[in-house]
Amino acid sequence: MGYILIIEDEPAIVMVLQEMLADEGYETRKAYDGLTGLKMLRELPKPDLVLVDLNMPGIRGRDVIEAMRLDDELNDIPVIIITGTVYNSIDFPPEGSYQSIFEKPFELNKLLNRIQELVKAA
Amino acid sequence: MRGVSIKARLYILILTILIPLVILQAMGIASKYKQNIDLELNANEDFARAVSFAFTNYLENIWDTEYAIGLALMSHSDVHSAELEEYMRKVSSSQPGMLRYSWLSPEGVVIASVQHKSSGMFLCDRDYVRRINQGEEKVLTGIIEGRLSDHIVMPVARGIWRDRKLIGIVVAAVDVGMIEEVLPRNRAGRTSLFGLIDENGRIVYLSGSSDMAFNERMVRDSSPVWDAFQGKIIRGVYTEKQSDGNLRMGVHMPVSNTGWVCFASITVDEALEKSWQEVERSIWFLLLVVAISLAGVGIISRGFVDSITTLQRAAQSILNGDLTVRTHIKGEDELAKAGKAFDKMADHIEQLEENRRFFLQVSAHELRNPMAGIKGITSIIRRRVDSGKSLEKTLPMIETLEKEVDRLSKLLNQILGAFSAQTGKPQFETHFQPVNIIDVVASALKPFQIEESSHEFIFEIPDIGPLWVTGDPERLEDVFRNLLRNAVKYSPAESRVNVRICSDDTNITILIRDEGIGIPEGQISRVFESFYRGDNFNGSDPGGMGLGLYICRDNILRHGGSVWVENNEGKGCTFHVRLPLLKEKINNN
Repeated sequence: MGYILIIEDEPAIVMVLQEMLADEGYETRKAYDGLTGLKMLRELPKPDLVLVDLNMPGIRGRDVIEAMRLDDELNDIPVIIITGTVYNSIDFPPEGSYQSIFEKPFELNKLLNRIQELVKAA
Repeated sequence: MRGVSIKARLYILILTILIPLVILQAMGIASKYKQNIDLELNANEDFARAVSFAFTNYLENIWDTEYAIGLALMSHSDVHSAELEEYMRKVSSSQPGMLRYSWLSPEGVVIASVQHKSSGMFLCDRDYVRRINQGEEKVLTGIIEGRLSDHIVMPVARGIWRDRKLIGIVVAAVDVGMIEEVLPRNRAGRTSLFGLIDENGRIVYLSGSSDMAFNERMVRDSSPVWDAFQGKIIRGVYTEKQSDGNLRMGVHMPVSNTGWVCFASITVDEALEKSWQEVERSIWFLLLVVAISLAGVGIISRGFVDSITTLQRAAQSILNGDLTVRTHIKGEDELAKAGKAFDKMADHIEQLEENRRFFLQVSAHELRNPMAGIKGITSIIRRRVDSGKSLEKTLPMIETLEKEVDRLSKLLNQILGAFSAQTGKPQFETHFQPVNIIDVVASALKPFQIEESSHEFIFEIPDIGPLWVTGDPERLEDVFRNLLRNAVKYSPAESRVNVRICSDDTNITILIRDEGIGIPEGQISRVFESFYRGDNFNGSDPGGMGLGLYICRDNILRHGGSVWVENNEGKGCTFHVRLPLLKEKINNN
């Protein structure tokens, strides 16, 4: 059906996302920090969608998205942000560089619907 | 005084000082004024006395002459003899203003007269004839219009007696127009006047006005002259219509016992010209003093009234929510100190407010992660139940669910703990007991000293046996675990974390040294404040509530110790925890 990369430092949330997506038949990979996430994007097969947290140790979500948009091979991959951060201009990437944003705690069904839409379109 | 502004109070204060001053000064002016009036009246009285004296002398001289004439007439059988006439002419020409002497029979018939052939005239209706016949010897009567000339005449009469029998009357007719010859002259003063008034109230002489018709000479009814006729000396201020209508002051006094009155006066304006100048000067001086005092109050009060207003406005602004307002009052006085204290307080409030906002933000952020996990897991379980799937594989998720709920409640406790520490109320009962600090530190280190640990931990203990302190072992372990967690968080992987314990006679010091990023110099005093968080070693937000060190310090303070941090010379920093050594325990061992 599709392959989704999860970049998130909270193990519980990674677990939730993986279980949910597995239930729906998606293949998932996980990275607990931004650097690992970027490495996986570049070195492994390209995912159909990326779920990314903003506030992470080391390379943050914003850095990951900006790096993807500058990379020709990763430029087209849709991105959904999942964050607990209250909006601020430092942590948030520019508008248009991502497809959706979900605030924690998010509605699982809504997130799933959005993922399905974006993967289908891709 | 409630409701009266400070400025008004100051003015009232200054006025309570100034008003008695003004009253005293006014009393001084008034007494000086009175003194000047007295002096001027004394001068007038002296002059009036001189007039009286000169005029009385003149009269006595005439009466003496009349007596001599009377004696001569009595000793001559022929009163019309040329020799006698010559004698009388001679006598009268030597006296100023003398028109003639006449010799009258006791009944008032002119028997002989010098210069005028008035013999045979009947002067029986004259007052002096009547008075002499009644027994008076020397008589001066009011002035009259002369019958023989247009002179106004002052009659001076003397009865000549022999053996108690009236022989005849000698009358001198004095020309009133010439009377000034016998009076003092050249009185000083522009507006000064003096004069002589006869028994009927007619002006005989008024200095400066020699030509007065007979019917113009009557003084008016309100004149002080009339009082002087009673024999009194009248001193004071009055208006004299007959001169220039000005307010005058002067002295009227009887001329010995003639029934006449003399006076000397001057206008009040001239008399008090000098006094007025003095009064005017005093008033100006007083006004100047008052003006300077009030201006002084204005200037002085502006300084601190402004300060108070600034303080009040600043307080109002803070009440209205603008926490950036400061008074910036300069100086060293009490108000400046109040202003500075206010500014410090405002700094503190602003800091607290910033902390509160940051706290809310951090709390929201930190609470969202476990909440998202909990919500996600429950949603998955529901979906699986709804779709009839097996829940066997769900067990690890339920375990995570429990952990996340625990984490949530821990976070909440942390937040509550931070709040209670901030308000200074102990949330927990501390169970203090003797504790070997080496055991506590070793126990705190245990979770970090595992094989897969990212850092290398070195624990140095002095070889002196247990080191005892009084405390709560759990709380103390929390402190060290927190400090170790920080050391890991703020230093790169593979770097070294060094824990050392040393002691002296009174204290034990535990040092935790890392090779991390250290603490920026400006923030070294702030790291123990609540909600302070430094960036971690790669420049990003390390997460967490920023409460760890705050709670550490709170705990250590409750144990009677202290905690501080210093940057190392090379890299990283060292946290020092100092606790008082429990000596009794050492002795027991």
